[in-house]
Amino acid sequence: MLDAAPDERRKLIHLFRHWRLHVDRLTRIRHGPPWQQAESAIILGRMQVQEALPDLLRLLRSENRELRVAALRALELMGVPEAVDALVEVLPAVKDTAWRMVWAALISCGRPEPERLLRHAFHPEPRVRMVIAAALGEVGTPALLERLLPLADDPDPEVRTKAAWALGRSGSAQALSVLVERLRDPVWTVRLQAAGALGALGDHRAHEALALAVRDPDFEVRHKATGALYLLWRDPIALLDLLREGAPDQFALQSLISELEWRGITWEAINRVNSPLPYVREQSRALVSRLIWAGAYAPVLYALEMHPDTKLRLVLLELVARSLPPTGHLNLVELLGSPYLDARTRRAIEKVIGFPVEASDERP
Amino acid sequence: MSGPEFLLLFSNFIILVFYIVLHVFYLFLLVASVWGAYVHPLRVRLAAFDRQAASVVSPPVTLLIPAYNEEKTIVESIRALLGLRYPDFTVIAINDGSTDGTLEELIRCFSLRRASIAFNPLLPTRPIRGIYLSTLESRLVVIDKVNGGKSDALNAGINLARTPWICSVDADSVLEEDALLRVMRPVLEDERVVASSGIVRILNGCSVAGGRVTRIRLPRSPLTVFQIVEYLRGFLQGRLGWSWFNGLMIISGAFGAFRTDILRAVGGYSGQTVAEDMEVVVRVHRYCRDQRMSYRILFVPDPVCWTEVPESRPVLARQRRRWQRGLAEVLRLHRDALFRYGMIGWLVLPYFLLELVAPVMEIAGFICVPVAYKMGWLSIRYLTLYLILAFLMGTMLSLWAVLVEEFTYRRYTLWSELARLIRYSLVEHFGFHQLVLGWRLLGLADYLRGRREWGAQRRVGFQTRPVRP
Repeated sequence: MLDAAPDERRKLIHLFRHWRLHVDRLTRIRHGPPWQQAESAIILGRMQVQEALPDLLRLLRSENRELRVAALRALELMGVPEAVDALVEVLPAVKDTAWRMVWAALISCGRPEPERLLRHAFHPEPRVRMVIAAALGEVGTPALLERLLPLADDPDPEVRTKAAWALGRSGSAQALSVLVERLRDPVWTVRLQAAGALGALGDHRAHEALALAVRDPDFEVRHKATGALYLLWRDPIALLDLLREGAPDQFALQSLISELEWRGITWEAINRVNSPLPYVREQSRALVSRLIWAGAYAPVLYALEMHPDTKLRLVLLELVARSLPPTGHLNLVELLGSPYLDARTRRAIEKVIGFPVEASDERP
Repeated sequence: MSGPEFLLLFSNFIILVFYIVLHVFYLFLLVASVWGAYVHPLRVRLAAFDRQAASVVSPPVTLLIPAYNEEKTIVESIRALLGLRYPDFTVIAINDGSTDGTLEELIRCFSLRRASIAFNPLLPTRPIRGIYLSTLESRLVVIDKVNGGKSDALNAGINLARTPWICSVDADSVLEEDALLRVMRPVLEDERVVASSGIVRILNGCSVAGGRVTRIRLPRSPLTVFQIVEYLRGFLQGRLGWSWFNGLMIISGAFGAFRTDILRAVGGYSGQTVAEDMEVVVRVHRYCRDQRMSYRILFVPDPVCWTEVPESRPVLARQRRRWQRGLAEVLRLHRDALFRYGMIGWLVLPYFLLELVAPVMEIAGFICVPVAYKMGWLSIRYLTLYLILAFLMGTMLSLWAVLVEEFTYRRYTLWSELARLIRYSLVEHFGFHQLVLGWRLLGLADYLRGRREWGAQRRVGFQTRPVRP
C-alpha cells in the first residue's frame, strides 16, 4: 500500500475495505506500539478511512514527534475538512518544526471547504496567521482571499509576506492599493512578495509603483518588480524605453534584460530580425537595437558568431553598427578572433570596425 | 631502566592511550549509528514521496554541478539530473575553465545560447566568461568561467542561484531518481534543518544507462571493493552516528543540500583548502552557534549518489593524500574553534584531530610494539590488548557496517556479493588499511611541505565503463 501507484491504490482501497483490512489497522492505530501506530496512520490516510479521524487527531497531540509527523502526513493524504480546526490548534505547539507539514495538511484538508481556513485567519498566534494565509493562497477563492486584506498590515513580517502573496491571487481591485503600500515595507521579503503579487494581480494601475520598485536597493526585489512589470505590459520595447528615461538605472536595466533572457524573449527577437512579416521584423529589430544600447551584447554577439543563418547575422551586424556605442566595437574585434565565423560575416565585421583583423586558431 | 627502553615504553603507552581514546569514539559512533540504522528505514516507510513530488510546500532547489574537463560524463550527468523527481528545481552547471570540450559538448547537446543575465556577486569568484541558457530545457543554466577550482565554481553557482536551497552534485556522479526528494524530506519535517546530505555509493562495476544505474554489482578490482567497505563504514557508521548528535562535520561535495541564505552568510565555499566540503560545514556550525540558532545538519542514508572511485593505486594514493592534507588544512583554519562551540569544539573537532594524527600513531605502533615485545620489555597482556585494538576492533567495525547495509538498504542483492564484502571486511585491516595509512602519512607530509594542487582523475565516461558479465 505504501508503495502503490495511484491507480493501483484505488483498487487496493476497494479490496481492503471489502476484506475489512482497515479494521485491523484501526485496532493497531489505537492499541499498537508507536511504530505500528505511525505506520497504520499513513496506511489509513492512504485508504481514506474516515473512521480513523479521531485517532489521527489524538496522534496530532502526541508527545512523540514521529507520531505527530505521521498523523500530519495521514491527514494530508486524507484531506478531510473536519481536521482543519485540530490542525490549527496543534500549529502553535509545533513551533519551528514541521510547520511545512501542517501547511501541506491544511492545503489538502482546506481545499474542499476553504471557509474553514478563513475562520482562523486572525488567530492571535502569528505563525497560525502566516500558515493560514499561505494555505488560503493555494486553495482560496478570490472572494475569500479579499478578506485577507487586513493581514497585509499585520505587525509580523512573515504574515505580511504570505498575505501579500495570497492577495496577488485574489484578483481584487482593493488589493492593489494595499500591495502598492507594501512595496515600501521595511522588510525586503514583504516587498518581494508584494512586487510579485502586483504582477500576478494584472492591474495596469500598478505600473508606476513597480517602475519605482525596479530601483529597489535589494537585488531580488528589483528582479521580481521587472518581472511583474513585464507581466503587466508584455511590451519589452516600451519597458526598455521607460527605464532609459531620465538618468538610466543600470540595475533596473540589467534586471529587465535578465528577465527577457529567462523568458526567451531576447533569443526570439534575435531569430525574428529577418522575419518575412514586416511588423514582427520591425518590432524584433527595435527590441534588439534597444538591447544593444542597454549593453546586452552577449546574446547578440553570440548570434553573430554561431547563428546558422548568414543573412540573419548580417542584419544583426547592421543593427550592431547602428546601435553600438564606440567602445562596443572592442567586442567586435574580439569576435573576429573566433574560428567559427564565416568569411562573409568576417568581412562585414571588418567593414564595420574599419580595419582587417587576422583570425585566431583558438576559441577566445 | 635504560633511556631507549624508557622511550620505547613511553611511546607504547602513548600509542595505547591513543588507540583506547579513538576506539571509545568509534564505539560511541557505533552505538549512535545502530539506533540511526534501526530508526531511519522505519521513518522512510512513513514518508509519502509520491505526495512530496507534487507538493507546493517542497522548497525550490538549485542543483550546482561544477565541471572541470568532464566532457565524457557531463551531458549524461545533466540529463540524469533533469530527470530527477522533484516539484521545482533548476540545474546550474559551472564549466570551471575546462581545457577539453566540456563547454562545446554542453552547447551542442543542450542547444545553449549565450545570455545577458544579471546576478548578485555576493561571493567573490574568478571572472565569468559567459552565462548560457538552453533553448531545449528551461531548467538548465550553464556558467562558463575562468578556472578557479571547485569551491570557486560552486560560489559562482551560489551567486546565480535564486532558490532557498542549493544542492551540490559532482559531474561524475549519478543521482538516483528520487534522491533529491529523499534528501529534502527532513527539511519538510523539521524547519531547523540547514543542511542535509545523502549517502555516496561506489559506481564502479555497476551498469549505467540513460544517466541511471540499471544494475548494481560489485566491481572486480579488489582495490575498489576495499573502498566500498570503507565507504559503508564511513557513511553508515561515522556520518550516521555524528548526525544523530548533530555533530556532522562532512557533507560530501558529491551530494549535499544547504540553505542558500546560510551558505551566503558564511561566505560560500573556501578556496583555502582542498577539503572545501568539510570546511564549509564547520563554518555553518560556527555561524549557527554564533547566531544562537536552533539548527540541524543531517545525514540521511536513503538518498543515493553513485560516484566513481579510483581503480588504480597511484590515483587512489593521490586522493587519500589530498583528503589528509584537506583535513589538516581545515583543522588549522578552525583551530580557534577547538574547545568552544559546545559539542563541536569539545567532541567532534578533537575526534578529527585524532584522525589527523592516526597515521603517525598507528605506523609508530606497528614499529614500536613488535620491537619492544621482541626485546622483552612488553608483557603478552599488553601485546594482546594492542592487537585487539589495532586489528580486531577495526575488522569488527567494518564487518558491522557491511551487516548494517545488508539488513537495511541491501543494494548488493547476490549472496556471493555479500560473502565477498564480508571477506574483504575481514581482511581490510591486514594490508589495505596499512597502505592507506602510508598514503595519509604522505598527505600529512604534503601539508607540512605546503603542497596545494588537487591532482587529476582520468574520466572514462559512464557509457564506456566496462561492465561485469
